[in-house]
Amino acid sequence: MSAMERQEFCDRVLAKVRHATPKEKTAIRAELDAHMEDHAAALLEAGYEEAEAAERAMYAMGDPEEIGAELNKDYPLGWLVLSRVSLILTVLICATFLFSWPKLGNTLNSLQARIAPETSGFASTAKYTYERDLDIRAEIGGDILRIYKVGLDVNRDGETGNAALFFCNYSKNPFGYTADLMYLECGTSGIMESARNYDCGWCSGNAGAYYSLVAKIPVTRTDNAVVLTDDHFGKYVRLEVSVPWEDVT
Amino acid sequence: MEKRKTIEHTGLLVLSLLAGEDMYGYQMIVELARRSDRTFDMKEGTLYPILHGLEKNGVVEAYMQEAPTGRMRKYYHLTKKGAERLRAEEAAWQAYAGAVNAVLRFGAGLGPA
Repeated sequence: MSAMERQEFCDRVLAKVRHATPKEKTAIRAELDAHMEDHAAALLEAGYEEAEAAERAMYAMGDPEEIGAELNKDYPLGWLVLSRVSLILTVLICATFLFSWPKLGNTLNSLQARIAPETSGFASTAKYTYERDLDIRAEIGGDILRIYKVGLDVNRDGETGNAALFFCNYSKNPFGYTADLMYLECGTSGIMESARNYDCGWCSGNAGAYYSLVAKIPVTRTDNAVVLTDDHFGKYVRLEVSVPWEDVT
Repeated sequence: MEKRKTIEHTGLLVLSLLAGEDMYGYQMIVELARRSDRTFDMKEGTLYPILHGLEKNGVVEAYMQEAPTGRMRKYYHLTKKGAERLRAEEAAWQAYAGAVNAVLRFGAGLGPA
C-alpha cells in the first residue's frame, strides 16, 4: 500500500473520532499507519509482491468506519471539554500569579539593589561635578543599608559646596520586605538632621528595596565626611562617607 | 472457525499477552494468532479501540520506542491495576468455562463431573 492509501484509510478512521484532540489524532494515525506498514513488510518477507502485500495488509485491518466508531467511544466529549477547561484554568492561574504577585517585583528590586544599585533611577538622572562610586553597607536588623555613590558640587568660592548621598535599603532575604528610609539622619560636623530636611528624594519602588537621594548637604573644605545614621529596629548604625574634595581641581 | 470482526474477551486476551512482555499492536495480533493456532484471527484494526480503552482505564500504559526501521512504535505495558484485573478476569473465566463444561458433559450423557 502506498503511503497515500494508508493515509486515506487513517482519514476515514479519524473522521469518526470526533472529540479527540489534534495531538491524539496524530498519535492514532501514526499507530495505525505503523501497523499496516509492519504487516505489509511481513508479507513482503513471505514472498508477496509489494502491491498485493499492501492490499492484504489494508484488508486485514477491517472496516475503517467501524474502527473509527469504536475508537470514538474511547475519546468522549466530556474528556475533551475537561482537558480544555483545565488548560484554560491553568493559564489563567499562572497569569494571575505572575502579574499580581507582589513578591516577584519586590524580589527583582531587591536583587537590583544588591547587584547594580547604580542602575536605579536616581543614579541615572542626578549628576554631580564630582562623583565617586561606593559600596558601604551596614546591617540594620534584617535589612542592609547600602551607600553606593557620593556626589559633590562646588560653589564658585571653591571652598564650599553641596554633597549628595545615594543609598538604598533592602532585606537580607531577597523574598522579604524592607522598611523604608524614614529613620535616617544626615549631616556634617556633628550637626545631624532628619534626612528629609534636606533636598531628599524618595524612590520606594516597592517593598523589595527603597532607594533614596539626599542632596544639597552643605559642606566646606573642612568637612571631610558626611555622616549618615539610621536608628530603628533597636539597632543604631553610623556611616561616614568621605567628601571627594581631593578630586576638586 | 469463521473469521469474525471482533471476538469476545479480547481485552482479557490482550492483558494475558502483556503479562508476559510489553508488546506493540501488530505484535499482539501475530502472537494471538500463533498461540491460538489461528483460532483467534481478528480484524486487526479492531484491536486499537480495545487497547485505547484499556489505556484510558489504567490497566495498561503506553510508551514509545524506536523500531529497527527507525520508526517510533507504541508499546503497551501491563500496569499493576491491569495485573489485578487479569487475575480477576481469569478466575471469572475459569468459573464460567467450568460451568459450561459441566453442563455439556451432563447433556452428553456422561454423568455429573
